[in-house]
Amino acid sequence: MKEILLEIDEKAAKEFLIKALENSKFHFLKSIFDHVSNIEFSDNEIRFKVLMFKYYLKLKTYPKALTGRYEFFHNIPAKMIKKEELPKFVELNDKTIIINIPENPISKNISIEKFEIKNGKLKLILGLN
Amino acid sequence: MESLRIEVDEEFINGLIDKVIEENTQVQGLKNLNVQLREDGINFQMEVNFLGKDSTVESLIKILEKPEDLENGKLRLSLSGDEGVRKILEGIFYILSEFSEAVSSKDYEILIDFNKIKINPFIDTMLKSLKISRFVLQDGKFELVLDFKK
Repeated sequence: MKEILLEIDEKAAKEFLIKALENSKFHFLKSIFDHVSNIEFSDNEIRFKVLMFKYYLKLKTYPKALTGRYEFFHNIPAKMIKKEELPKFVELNDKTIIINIPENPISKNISIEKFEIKNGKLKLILGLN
Repeated sequence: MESLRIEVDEEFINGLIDKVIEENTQVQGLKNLNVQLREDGINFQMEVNFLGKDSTVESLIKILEKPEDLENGKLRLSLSGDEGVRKILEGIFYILSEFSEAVSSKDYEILIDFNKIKINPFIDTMLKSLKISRFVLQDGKFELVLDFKK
């Protein structure tokens, strides 16, 4: 098998987000995620609760290669998030969020064989083009 | 269990190396590079064409010490095999050591000290919050399991 497997579970994803935001400049996101009670991975959705609100990111499309355009449906209140607080490769619209990862010489040879979010895990299987 | 799990198999690494070498004609003389992931370490096989002569050289990078976390852990490797490849590999690590204090090489032993890795403040803090719970080379596979420290 020519593969790389990357797998992260719900708790590790939450720890990762908290640690990442602690060190970031994204004040609004930081204040949201300080109150995230849990993150759930199921049915190709990332669900999280903030105080009494329930939010989700649902996988819409992902690129054939590792780098490129990932698109999710979401119900996060986009208007409350300052565009300038988001990293440049993230585009937040009312219903969708687009993550554009720039290509590099190595990643264009790497394909995504499988990208699934289910049973508490986010799993990415990479192959070769 | 809170973990981040990464599994890489040698066929993937070899396939990727082939593609990168194919596309990169600057690597002159190197015809093939093959990597084997074994329990005792990483075995490199190189087919080179040097001054019009084809030859195969081999080197084994043994893992002497595995890191337990990415904050203070150390990865210690030893290089063995053909003299020429050993020198090349040591040379590569020597170049790396010029750029990063985290890498040092001496007498065919390479030390990577995670405590001294400085990439950028963000990545450094992220690395410091990870613990390695599994670091295994076996049956052509490299398996790494990372846990977040509480």
